[in-house]
Amino acid sequence: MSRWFGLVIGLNDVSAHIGPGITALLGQNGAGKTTMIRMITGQIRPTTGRIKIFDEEPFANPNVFRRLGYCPEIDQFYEWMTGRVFVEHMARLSGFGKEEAQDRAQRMLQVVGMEARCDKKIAGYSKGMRQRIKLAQAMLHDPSIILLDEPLNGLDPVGRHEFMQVVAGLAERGKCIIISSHILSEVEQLTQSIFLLHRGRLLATGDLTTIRSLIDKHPHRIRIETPEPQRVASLMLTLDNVLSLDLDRDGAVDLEVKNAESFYPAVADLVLQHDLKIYGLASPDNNLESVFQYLVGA
Amino acid sequence: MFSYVYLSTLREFLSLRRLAIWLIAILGVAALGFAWLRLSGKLGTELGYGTLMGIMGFRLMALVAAVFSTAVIAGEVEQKTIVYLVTRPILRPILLSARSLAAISTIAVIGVVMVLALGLMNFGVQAFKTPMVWRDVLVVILGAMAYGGLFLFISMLLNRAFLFCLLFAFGWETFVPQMPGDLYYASILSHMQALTLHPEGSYPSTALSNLGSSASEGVAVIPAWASVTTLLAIFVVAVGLSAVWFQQSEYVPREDAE
Repeated sequence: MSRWFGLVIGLNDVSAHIGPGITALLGQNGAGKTTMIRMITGQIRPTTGRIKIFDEEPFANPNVFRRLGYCPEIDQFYEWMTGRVFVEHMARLSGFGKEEAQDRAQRMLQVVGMEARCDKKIAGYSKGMRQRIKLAQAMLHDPSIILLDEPLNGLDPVGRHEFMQVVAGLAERGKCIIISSHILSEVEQLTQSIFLLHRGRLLATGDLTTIRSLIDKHPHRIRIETPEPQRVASLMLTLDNVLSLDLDRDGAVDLEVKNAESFYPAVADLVLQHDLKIYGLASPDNNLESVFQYLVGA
Repeated sequence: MFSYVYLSTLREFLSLRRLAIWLIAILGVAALGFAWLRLSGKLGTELGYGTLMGIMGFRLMALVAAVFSTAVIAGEVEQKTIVYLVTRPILRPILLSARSLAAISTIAVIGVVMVLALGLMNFGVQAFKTPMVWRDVLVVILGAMAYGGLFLFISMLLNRAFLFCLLFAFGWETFVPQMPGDLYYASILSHMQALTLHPEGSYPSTALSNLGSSASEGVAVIPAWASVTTLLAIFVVAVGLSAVWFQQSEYVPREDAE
């Protein structure tokens, strides 16, 4: 699907299938994340192509909205309402009766940790409290698909941890969760499945480790912490995977390797054969941040 | 679902905070009118009441209509809360019709309060026995439907609709009835005035009206049935078209609208 805004392209020929579990929607500002989320949530239509949620077009489609929860990035509310009234109002608009709406609102407010503060007006809420209320309204109708647009913004570390636990729990229950965020390290703790947009195009999709292994242009950096760096370094040079080697002042060995999948078993063999002492082995660029930078050239 | 959306929107529109502002405005208009009628010696007369309704009452109602009709959808787009409404499992035409009906009810309530306030101020308790006042109650209800529907439709089509609604209420509605020929048919105000029982001479002539037909000359020739039909038709067509437009169009928070 593609989406144009006049002469400006918002999303260019993106084709993808997103299933259950957590998928991270990544990209810089203007990459097309919001356009994509708006199309999935039926706020806008694709200019060309089609988007299907449970075999239905989402645009202005209540059947889709019954199974879709959306936590928008915007920070606007009906400021005169209390958090509880707002969540109940959203539940009523989702078609629940008064008592059912009250029950669901109460449950969701507990889940997001707002039960003690939900009877104050939203106008007086902090950014983190607003974020929690948005999460509550997105989950209250137990949707199968949940879209979270920058949900970690404004949450304190404890709030982020609690939120990630909630999201992980939802994913374990088979929900399809699409999470857009620029806090890559925390997204990485939630999922390895990424959907990377850049300037309106889909740059990469799939498992993070697989994507990383396909980036040949940037060899894997691996750091070995050992009390015998020179011995380890000389043994490492016997491996075909090693492209370069550097002895760190701290006594660590920094390597650049190709084909990381075959390198790790080879290191294990060397350790066993030569009784090497290795305290730590880490790959500082085998993470979302590095993959993101390598792919977009940021 | 319709009744919940209608009632919740009505509660929002008729909240004490909002209502207080309009009550102050109505009392201000009534106080100004009282002072003017007293000074002009028309206090207690039907001509004085008709003049007040013509130059103040109906105009204030058009302003109220502009405020509440644009709050139905355009206001939600401006304050970015539209996203909460259009991603809920509710058919857009139902959402729109319930909210617009709540807006029109609000306009009608404020309009009726205004008619009664001006009537009481001019006639005292005799206002409740004055047919002209009760006719005006019906007229403002019809006017609320017509203005409300039309302004709603304008707000669906245009950004910054409030400005265009004000231009219509105070520009178009002022000059078009004064134009020569049958142009007064294209004015909601003319149809409202045609339905009232205000005595001839209630609406002051202007420089423009001296050039050709005047509003008071014009309204006299519009039959009541034609005005009622026109006002109801404007309401039905405008709300219907708005519902179709809302179903088909994309609504995203204003700041991000491309």
